[in-house]
Amino acid sequence: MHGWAGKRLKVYLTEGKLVEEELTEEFRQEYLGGRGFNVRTVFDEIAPGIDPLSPENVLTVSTGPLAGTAAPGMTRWTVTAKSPLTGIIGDGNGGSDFAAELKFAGYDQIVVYGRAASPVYLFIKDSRVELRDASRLWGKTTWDTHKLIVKELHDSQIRDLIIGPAGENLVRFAKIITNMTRAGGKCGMGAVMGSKNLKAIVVRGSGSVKIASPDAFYQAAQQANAKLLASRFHRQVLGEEGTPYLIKFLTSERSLTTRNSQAGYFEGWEKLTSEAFESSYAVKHGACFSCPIACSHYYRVKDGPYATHGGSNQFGTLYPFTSRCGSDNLAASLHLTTLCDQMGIDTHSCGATISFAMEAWEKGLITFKDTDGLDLSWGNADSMIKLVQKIAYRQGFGDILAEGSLRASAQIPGSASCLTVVKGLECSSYYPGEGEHKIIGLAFATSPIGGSHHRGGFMGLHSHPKVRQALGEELARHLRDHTTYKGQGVLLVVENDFVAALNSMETCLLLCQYGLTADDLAGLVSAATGFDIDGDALLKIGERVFNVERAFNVREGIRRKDDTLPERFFVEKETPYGKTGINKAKFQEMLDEFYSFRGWDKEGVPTRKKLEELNLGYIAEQIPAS
Amino acid sequence: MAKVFSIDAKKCTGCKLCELICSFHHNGVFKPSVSRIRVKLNTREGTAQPLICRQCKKCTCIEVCRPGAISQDEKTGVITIDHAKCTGCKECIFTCPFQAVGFEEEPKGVAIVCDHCGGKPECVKVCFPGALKYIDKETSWAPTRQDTTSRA
Repeated sequence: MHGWAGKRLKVYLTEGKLVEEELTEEFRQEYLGGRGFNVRTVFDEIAPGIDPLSPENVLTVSTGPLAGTAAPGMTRWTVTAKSPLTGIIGDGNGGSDFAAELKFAGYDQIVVYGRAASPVYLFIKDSRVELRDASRLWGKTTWDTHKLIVKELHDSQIRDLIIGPAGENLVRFAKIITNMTRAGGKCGMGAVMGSKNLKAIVVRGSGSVKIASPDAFYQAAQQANAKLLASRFHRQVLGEEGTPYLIKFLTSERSLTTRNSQAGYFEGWEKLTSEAFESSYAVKHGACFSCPIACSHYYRVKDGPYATHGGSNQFGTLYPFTSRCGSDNLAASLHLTTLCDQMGIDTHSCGATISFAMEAWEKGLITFKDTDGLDLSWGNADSMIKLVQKIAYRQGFGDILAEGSLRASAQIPGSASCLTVVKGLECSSYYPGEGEHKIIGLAFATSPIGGSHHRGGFMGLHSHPKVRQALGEELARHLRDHTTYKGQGVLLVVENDFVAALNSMETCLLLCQYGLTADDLAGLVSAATGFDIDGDALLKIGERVFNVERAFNVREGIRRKDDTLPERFFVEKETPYGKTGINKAKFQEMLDEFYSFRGWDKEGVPTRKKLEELNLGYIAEQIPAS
Repeated sequence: MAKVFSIDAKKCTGCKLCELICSFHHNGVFKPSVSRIRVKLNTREGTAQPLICRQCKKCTCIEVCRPGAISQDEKTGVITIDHAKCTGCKECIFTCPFQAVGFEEEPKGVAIVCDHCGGKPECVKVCFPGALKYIDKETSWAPTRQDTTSRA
C-alpha cells in the first residue's frame, strides 16, 4: 500500500471491542481520506434523527493519503460526527502532528461507536491497541491530562486528542485538543467524545509511509515548497504575521465582526494587530507537521492579571474575545485562548455566544440577577474569563450559555434578534461590510456544517477554467468586484468542491489559498499513492464529498429555508464606516444560481441524476426525492 | 574541509521535515523512527530541539562499542557505523549524551547515526526556517561543541 496505511480501526466502546478492517480500493479512491472518509462513514453508520449525545452517534477521525510525508502541510486530521450544536453533520479540522503519528501507527481512520461504562482512553502503539482506564483523568484539564498520560506511558513524544472539562460536561461547543495547543474545534465534537466516556485518543507509531514513485514525489514536494516560499502571501504574510494579519485586512474592508456582528469596524483594532502581538507577547514560530510556512505563534504574557502562555495565536482565537466582544485587551484574549485550550472549548462559538449574551445585556434583556452578578458590558474581559469557566463547568448562567447561543436564546425572552447563527452554528467571523464579497455571505449560508468560514468563498478561484466556462469571460472578470451578486453562486460551487477535496487530502487550506492548485495537489497524490488523478478528478471527489454531506443534512430535514443568513445581515444601510448588508432578493438569486449549478433542485435537494453521476445512486434511495 | 552542523533551536518550528527527508533519503520511505536527526518537541512551551550527531572530539560511542563497529573519519569527523560488525547491543545509544544515535529494527537491528549524506545533507536543504546549517568547522562559532562530551 502506498500513501495510505489502508486500515481502519473500529472501536466499540459499549462492548470494549476493537476491530481492524481493510479499506477497500474503491472507498480510498472515491473519498481520498480525511473529511471524505468521515462523511461517507457517518452517512452510512448514523441513523437519521438520533440524539447526537446518545451512544447511537458515531465519531470518526481520519487522516489523508499524504499524512506523514514531506508534502507541505498535508498532515491534518478531521473529526466528524452528528453535531450536538446543530443536529446536522459536524466536523472539526486540526493540525499539528497527530495525523502523522496515526499513519505511522498504521491507521487511516478511527471509528468510535457506543458508550463506555466508565471513562476510558484509547491507546494505539503500532499494532498494539487497547482501551485503558481514564477514571483518574476525568475532570482534568487537557494540559493536565496530557501530562498525566505522558507520565503513565513514560513517553513525552506521544500524540493525542484530548477533551477537557467542557467535553465531559457536554458543553455543546466543546472541542478536541491535540498537542495541548491545536484543536479540531467546530461543532462540539468534544461533547460527542464526552458523551461516549472517551477522554482521549493516544497514538505512538514507528511505522512508515511508502511512496509509489519516490523520485516524482520528491520533485513534486520540492516544487510545492518552492512555490509556497516564493509566494509573498505565504512567506511574508502568513510566515511572519500568521492569520492575525486579518485584523488589519478586515478592518480595511470594514468587515471585522464587531460587538456581536453589529458593525464591521472596531475602533480598538490597532491594539490587536500582529505588530502589537509581536512586540509584546510573541515567543517564537510554530509549525504543523511538514509545513514550511509556520503561521502559528507561541506566546507568553509574563505578568499582570492575564499572565499566561500558550501555543497558537490565530485569527480564530483572537477576534472572538476581542472585536466580537468589544474588547481591545490583547493580553486578556491570549489568556482566554489558553483557558479555552485547557477547558476544551471552541473559541469561535464561545466568543460568539458570550457576545450574544453581551448584546442581550446591552438591550436590557438580562441583568445581574440572570448572570450571577457578572457585568456583561462590552469589553469586560474579567467577566468573560469567569464566564468561560462557568460554561466549562456548567455553573449558573454558564449552564445556559453552554447550550450554544440558539438554545440559550430560547431561555432569554426577546433575545432571538441577537442571534447570529446559521443552522445553529454561530456565524463566527462574518460581517457583510463595505468591501466584503457577497460570495462570503452565500458561503456561510450554504456551508454543510452551519455558519462556518471554512467551506470556500475566499480561495481566489475566479479565473478557474470551470468558472470561466460556465459564466463566460466577461462575467468571470467581474467576479472580483465585491458588489456583484451574479456569478458568485457558480464560483462558490467550484471553491466548495476544491475545499472539500483538499480537506479530504487533509491539506492546509491556507496553503491552497492563492497557493497550491488542484493540479499541484493531484500530482502529489498520484506520485504518492500510484492512483493516477488530475486536478479535475480531484474536484470531482470534492463534489462527491459535498453532496454526501448535503444528503446527510437533507435526511435530517435541512432545506432551502435553512440556507439563509441571520436577519441583521440582510439590513442594507449606510453607516459612518461604509455600506453594509446583503440584498435579500439578490441573495435568493445567488442561491438559485448555486443550486442549479450544483445540480440540486429548488429546495436544495441533490437530484437523482446528479447523485448517479457521482456514483452515489444508493444515496438517492435514502433521501426524500426531489 | 571539515564541516559541522550548526543548530539554532530558537529558529526550529518543529515541522519535522528534516526527519522525514532523512528517512526518505536513507530508507526510501517516510519513517521518522529511523531518522538520523530527531526533533524533540515540547508543544506546551514551544521548544523544539533538533538532535543530531555532533562529531565529538572524544566519542563515547566509539569507546563503548565492544565489536569496534564505530569509527570516526580523522579529516571530516564523520562517524561511521559498520553494520556488518554492529551487534545491535544499543550501548552507543545509551551512552550518547545528545541522543544522536538511532536504531533501525529491520532487517537485522543496527545502530544508525548521521552520515552527512556524503557531504550534502538533505535535512539542511529542507530546513526553511534556517535552524539547521551546514558550515565549515573553522567558521563555526561553536568550537566548544567539539569537546562537549567531556562535560557530559
